[in-house]
Amino acid sequence: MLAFNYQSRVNRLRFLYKMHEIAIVESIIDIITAEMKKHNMTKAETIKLRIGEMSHVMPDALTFSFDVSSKGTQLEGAKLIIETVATKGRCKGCGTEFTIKDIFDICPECNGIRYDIISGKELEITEFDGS
Amino acid sequence: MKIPLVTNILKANDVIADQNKKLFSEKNILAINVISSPGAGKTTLIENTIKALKDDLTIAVVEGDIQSTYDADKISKTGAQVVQINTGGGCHLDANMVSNALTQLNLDPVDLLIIENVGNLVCPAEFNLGEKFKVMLLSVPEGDDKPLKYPLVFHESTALLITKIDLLPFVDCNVEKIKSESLRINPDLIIFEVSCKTGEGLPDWYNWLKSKTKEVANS
Repeated sequence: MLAFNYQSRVNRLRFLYKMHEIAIVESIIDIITAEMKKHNMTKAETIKLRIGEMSHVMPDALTFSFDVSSKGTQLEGAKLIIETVATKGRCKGCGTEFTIKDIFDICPECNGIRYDIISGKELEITEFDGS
Repeated sequence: MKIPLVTNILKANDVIADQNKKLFSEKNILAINVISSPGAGKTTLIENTIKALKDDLTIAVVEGDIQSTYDADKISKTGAQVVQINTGGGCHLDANMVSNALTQLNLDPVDLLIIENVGNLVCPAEFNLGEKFKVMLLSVPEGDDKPLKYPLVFHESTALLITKIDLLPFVDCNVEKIKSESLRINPDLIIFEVSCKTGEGLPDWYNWLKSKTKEVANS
């Protein structure tokens, strides 16, 4: 049995390691850095995100983590513009689509308790602006 | 210059999770992702499961913790293959970590792979590892308000084990409330009430797990 130790990756962010948003931020930085390279860009100005309510990502914590983690990278100083997406379900019984405010919400048409989540889990980059 | 994208931020994780899922499918392995708060009894449940099913299934384990090989050391005493991942501070396992760990296991004889996630009732629910389904534990001393407070993990899980039921006489915990609120969040949730101390309720869990493993083996 072997141990895989990811300590060295976390050390550079050690004072923030308790924050869940770190994994998300690292991903954003990786994706945008790659895209900037593709387009020969050196500076990112704004990054637009769509974050679903059910994703459990807190926009404030995400912005804070991003501001700290992007220091020293090509994304330093870039602003996150976050669009929040409401949670919507589609009733498995009658097909009605409805907004979900509470995890206990039921179908307003047929009172069905089973539904597919059709929006609210998004964690997407939609656009970025830079030069 | 504006560059449009529509990129899932966790795409990198999901791509690797799909690779893991494909590997499990090729090897006819049922992979489950076990999630709970720290101390709910994941490792003890896995130890008991391996011992009880040793004549029926070959089980391998991937252990996830922030630090130490304590859990993997315990599992290795059962004779099962086990690999320990230390996240070094990360609060959940991700698909890449699991993918690396799988390279250290001989998967050919394995029927069931149990991935014990880092103790955490929040983040593991959000990161797909390539598992077939999530199994969560909630122990009696944690209290009966957890479904309302942590709905996502209840929503995402296929099975819930209410553990440490031997402690019911000593703590205020309404098991019926846990069950009814969990089922409101996830009407298809399969619920077991168990004690690894007394053995109560475990045979139902073992039988269900065996039948799920055989379903995958025969598919």
